[in-house]
Amino acid sequence: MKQPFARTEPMERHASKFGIESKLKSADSWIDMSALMRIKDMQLRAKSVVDGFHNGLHRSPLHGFSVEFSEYRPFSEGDDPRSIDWKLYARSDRFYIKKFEDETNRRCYIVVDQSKSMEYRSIEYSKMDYARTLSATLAYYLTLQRDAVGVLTFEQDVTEFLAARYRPGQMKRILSLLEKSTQGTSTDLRKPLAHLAEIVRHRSLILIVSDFLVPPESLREPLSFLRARHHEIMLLRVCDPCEITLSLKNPAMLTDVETGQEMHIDPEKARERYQQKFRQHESELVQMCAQLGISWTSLVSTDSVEHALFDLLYRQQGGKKRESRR
Amino acid sequence: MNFLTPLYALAALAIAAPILFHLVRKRPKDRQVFSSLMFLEPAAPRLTQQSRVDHWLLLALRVAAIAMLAVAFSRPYWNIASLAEAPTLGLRRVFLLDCSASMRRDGMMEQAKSKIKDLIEQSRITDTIAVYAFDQSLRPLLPIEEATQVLPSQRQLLAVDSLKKAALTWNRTDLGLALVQATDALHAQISSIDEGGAGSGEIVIVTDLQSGMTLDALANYAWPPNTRVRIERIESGTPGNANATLLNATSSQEPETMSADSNQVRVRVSNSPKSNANEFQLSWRNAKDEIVGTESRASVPSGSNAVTAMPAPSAEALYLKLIGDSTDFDNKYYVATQQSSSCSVLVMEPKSREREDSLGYFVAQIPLSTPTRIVHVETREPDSEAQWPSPSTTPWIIVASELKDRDLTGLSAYLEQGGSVLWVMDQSISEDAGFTSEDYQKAFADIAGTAVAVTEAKSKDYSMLQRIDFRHPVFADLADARFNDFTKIRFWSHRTLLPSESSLWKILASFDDGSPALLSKEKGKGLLWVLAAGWQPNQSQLALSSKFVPIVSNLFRIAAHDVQDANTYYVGDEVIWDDQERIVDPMGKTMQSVVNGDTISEKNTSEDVNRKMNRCPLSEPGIYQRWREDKMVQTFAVNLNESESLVLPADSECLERLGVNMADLNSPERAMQKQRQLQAIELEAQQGWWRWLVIGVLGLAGTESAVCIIRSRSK
Repeated sequence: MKQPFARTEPMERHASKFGIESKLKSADSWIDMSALMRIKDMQLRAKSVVDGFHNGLHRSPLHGFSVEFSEYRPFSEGDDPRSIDWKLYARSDRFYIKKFEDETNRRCYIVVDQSKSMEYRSIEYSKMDYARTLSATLAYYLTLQRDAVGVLTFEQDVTEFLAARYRPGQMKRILSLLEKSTQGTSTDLRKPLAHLAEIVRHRSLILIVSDFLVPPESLREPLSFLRARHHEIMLLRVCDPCEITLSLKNPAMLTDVETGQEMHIDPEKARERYQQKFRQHESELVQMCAQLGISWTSLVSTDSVEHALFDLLYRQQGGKKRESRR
Repeated sequence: MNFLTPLYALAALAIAAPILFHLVRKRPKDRQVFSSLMFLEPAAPRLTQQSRVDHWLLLALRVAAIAMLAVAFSRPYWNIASLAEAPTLGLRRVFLLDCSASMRRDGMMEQAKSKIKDLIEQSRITDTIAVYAFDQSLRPLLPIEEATQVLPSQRQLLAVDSLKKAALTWNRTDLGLALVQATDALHAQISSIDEGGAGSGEIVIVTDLQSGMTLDALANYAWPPNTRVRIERIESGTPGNANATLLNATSSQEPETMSADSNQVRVRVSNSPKSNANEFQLSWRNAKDEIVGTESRASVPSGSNAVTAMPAPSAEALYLKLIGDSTDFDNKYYVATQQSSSCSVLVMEPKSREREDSLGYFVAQIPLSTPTRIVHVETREPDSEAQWPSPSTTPWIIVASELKDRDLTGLSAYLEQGGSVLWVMDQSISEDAGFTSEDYQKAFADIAGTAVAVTEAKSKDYSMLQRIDFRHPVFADLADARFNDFTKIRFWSHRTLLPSESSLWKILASFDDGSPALLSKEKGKGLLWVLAAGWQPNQSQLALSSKFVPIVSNLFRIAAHDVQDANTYYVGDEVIWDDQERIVDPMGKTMQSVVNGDTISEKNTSEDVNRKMNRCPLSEPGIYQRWREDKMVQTFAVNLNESESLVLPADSECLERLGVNMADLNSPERAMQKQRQLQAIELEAQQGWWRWLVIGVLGLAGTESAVCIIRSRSK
């Protein structure tokens, strides 16, 4: 059967960029997600992924690359004289302006969908477990980069919000917030995104982790609004393997986990039409993201979360280039 | 095959349910949750012909189980033919014939007997028929125990024949008591014959159902559900009735009220609501039914009472007659004229005693006099030379401890003549007081003629009374739970008596140390009571107790052979007389003692009382005489009970209100149907098919479960 998802193509492209083709070619070199999910401590889970990811990077030709970069630039007209580094002026007799660290560090918000559909599972862990691990991993990775990380969880509305900070204990707060059990209702991205747009005024990186099982057009308006506020947005779609292939064996009465609606399904008959609709839905989402300048990453819950890190790293690289071009 | 409860067979319609369920398209059993149905389209459930065929066995099992359950609940039974041939259980029917005084009107008794005869003849041959007559009690004419022994063919004849024994009486109507007794007799038969109480009984009351009847006995009676009551009412052609009653007949005879300006008596005339008469004549009549004195007139509207004054009866007058109403059974009111008399109670004690130490002082406070007898309390010094009184003028002597030889001789003779003596041993045995045990013992030997050991009781604080004989007339008035607390009467000192021949003595009360407190003994014709303590306040609290008056009054009544007031007897009451007396009825015959309806040749003896008492119910109104030793001591009037005059028909619902199970009068078919149903119940209970069917249902259910399990495993 034709594999509908071209998730591996950009990954291979990234890998060639970062020089880790050998790792990508060997399936064993990725972290086994089922083994990872058996680790109960989420921080340890995130640390295992990120440390492994760093190890991989250290063996890469991009050794020495760091986001921790503070610069001095010559003073030019229009700059605030208060930002002149007078010590440097004493040594070099030239005016330099010191770029402060907190200005260089980004604010990152990880937006996690905790709706009922995320509880679905056809393997030993649910999409929600995967999304939490993914969020924790991203948060840990970004914290290591000294970025201020915040978290927002939502169902129909915002359930929890933690403002982006870079401070001791922030990671623990993020993890405890992610580990909170939720009642879970239906998915509605409009309200949380609108809420986020109101409370996050500084330009930030917004990583939205969800299954995006909503009509794509309903997302256009809130995402456009966020983009209009110069936020960088990255959509991380999490799917269960069964959701992609509809790998049910026997005819069954399916109950929508969010609406409670019941429908009799014969998988053999419905599969083709289902996949067609699923692909169409995804392509609409991808198209919308492309139009809005939003990154799109689709992850199956069996995929290693390192893929997301690669995508993030790639986006940062691209973003830097775009910024430098700007 | 027949069904006891055929409506349950409708439950068999439930077999449609499994058939429907099997016909309905099978929905998938597998249910799964899915994250979202937004990419899915509904598909019709699959149904294959094969699946239907596979479930035929299950369907058959289920249908069979439901059908069997429905049949089981319908309680099937076989062989109705043998049931029809079997002898049917007859109804136990008890006829109650009202023989009370109110049935004396207009030949109502003949109507009642005729009605019962018709009903008996209408009964089925299998019915058991018992006949009872009732007024204020129930009398068997053909008791149910006897009726069950009789062959069915002879039952009706015997029952009709028994009606000849029914006779009218002058008694009042106690329908409640009659119903309770008849029901108990009937129920005892039903319980003993029909195991499980399958049979039923019917009580048919043939009565005028007058409003004056008594139903009190039904108030606390749990009516058996399988016994029902039918009332056959006998109507009188003249519903109205009036009667006259003499008010305060006793006091009118008192000398004080017989003065010239009050030489009249009051008569109450009652006229029933539906009476046509308003004007009545009242007159005193003699034995020959001739008017004595003048006739009075009274005008009483129907439904009201009036009290009218008329001249007091002369000595010749026997009864008051009312003329003017349509029924005359209750128009005579007998009056007994009474002569006032006087008697004395003699108290022998030293006059030197202070008032509070005196026995006589406390006795004198007790109102022993009655309207017809004045009682004087006299005191006499011991060892007096005065002549001893006669028991006829002084029926009771109370003596204190201080008795001399002369007194002992006199008392002994007085007792022999028939007098009554109460010896109050109110002096302690001590050297200081001059009383020794020997003195008391000698006195006992002289008065009672038997040896009694006397010692002073050793009590720390006080003694109380116990083992009081409340059946004895002395204490009978205090037997009620409200009055029988004697613990507040404390005796500071008393004497301990130990009779050598205890069988001669009757102990009425004892002290809490076990020694007798009040005891009695017959001596000659007289009666001796001994109280082993004094009642003065320095001896005990008896005289100051509220019980002192009734105890002493009762002792006096026994001593004075007191009898009931002459004008307070009603028909049905018992008259009591002792061995020395006889009662002569209005016909001039001497009455015989009757116990439980049987006349006994030997005089009845009551062990509870020293004197032997005879009793007999008063069966008819009139003037009775009480004779003692060939001397007429009292005439007393016996009248019809006033409640019998209330002849207005009562509502039959009054029985229903008391819980009586009233029968539906107009449905003999219903009774037959009920009978058939009872037989069917019996037959079905014997066969018990439903049990086997239920077992079959359980077997089918088990098989069905097994088939299901096997199928699911094979899949």
